[in-house]
Amino acid sequence: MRTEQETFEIVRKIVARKAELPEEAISMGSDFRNDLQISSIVIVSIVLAVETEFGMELSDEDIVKLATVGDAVRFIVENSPGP
Amino acid sequence: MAIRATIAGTGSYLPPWVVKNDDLREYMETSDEWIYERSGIRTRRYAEVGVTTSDLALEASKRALEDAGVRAEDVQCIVLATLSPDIHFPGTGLFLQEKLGIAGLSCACYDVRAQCSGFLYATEAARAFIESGIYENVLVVGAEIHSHFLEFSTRGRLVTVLFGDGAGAVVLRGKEAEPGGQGILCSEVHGDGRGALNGVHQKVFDMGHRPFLDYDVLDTEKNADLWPNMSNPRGLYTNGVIRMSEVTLSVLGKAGFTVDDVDWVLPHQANLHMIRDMAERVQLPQGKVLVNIDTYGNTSAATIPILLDENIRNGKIRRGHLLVFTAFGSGFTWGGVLVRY
Repeated sequence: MRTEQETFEIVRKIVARKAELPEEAISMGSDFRNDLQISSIVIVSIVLAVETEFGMELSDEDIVKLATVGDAVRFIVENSPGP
Repeated sequence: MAIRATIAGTGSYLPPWVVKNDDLREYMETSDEWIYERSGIRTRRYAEVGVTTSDLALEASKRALEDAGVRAEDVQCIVLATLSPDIHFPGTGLFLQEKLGIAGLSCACYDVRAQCSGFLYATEAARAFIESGIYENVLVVGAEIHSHFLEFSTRGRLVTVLFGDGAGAVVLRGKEAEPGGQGILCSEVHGDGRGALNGVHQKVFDMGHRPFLDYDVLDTEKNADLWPNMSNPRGLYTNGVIRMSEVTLSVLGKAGFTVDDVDWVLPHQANLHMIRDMAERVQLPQGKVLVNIDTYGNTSAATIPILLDENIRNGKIRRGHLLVFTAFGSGFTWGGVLVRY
């Protein structure tokens, strides 16, 4: 099972790559829409990369609830089947 | 001796009317920035009123035949892919045949209904006809006029901003297969009907009703069925990336190649983000992926033959190059073609 910090590092790299943002701009507290200004289609791209990386599926209801990077990281730690 | 289907010639045609993102603000709440960020599209082409899908198909076909050095009279079969047929029936391939001036020669005319994967379905069918010896010269066409059936309002903007009109054509010709030689080396197409009404579809009519139009087409409150409906954008995106990646690797693997052997991948042009995700997923350098969605938007069955023709004519694609075509579309449908040009 990956730790929260390890998961955050992976998620941060995915978000930075998909949203074309510097990694330093992304913290656990970053709100995907309000702080990082990520469009809905890039959110879909990030979700697909996260699903592939962590071997899990996120429902539309899950995605709506994940407002910040930290929300996503904690959700992954709690729900992913592990590496 | 085994016969292989080779690309003898290509052609494409885009109607001259250029529509910029900001031009759409006349009809709906949108902006250049909003559309570009979400799709990678800057402009698309629209056909004037009075122009039909078979008109665009005709221009692309004439160019492909000229490029191939094949007379229209020598076409033994037309396979035309479209989701925007001239009329409900008969098929648009017949209209194209008549416009090519070869109706009296009575060649076979197939219409393929596989949406954005239509050109690959048509190509696989043509390949099978040629390899089995039924036909030697097959005209394969992808042609669409979307702009005449899109909903130009804020309600319809999610779909409307994405699509443009255009046509592409390829003359496939049978030749004796040689090791390492030209031609289609592998192809596969797939469908999953669970996506038929759970992706993007356009109902227009319902043959379960009598009469088959059961709403007032002029009533903007009730006529949503008249227009394209995208009910599952995330499902389309995710399935599209996964399926296009899978078939790309599959056709390469079946023919004994890897991604490193590919010169160019020609993906269906639905969304720039999808194309980038697909390339990343199969570990393909973005520089090997051909893109023109910024200029033409999504022309459904026509995207790949337009992209192919454009990049042959600009010299990027040269004889001997190894190409992969990959597409995903409404239905769901998807497919891949591996070809040595």
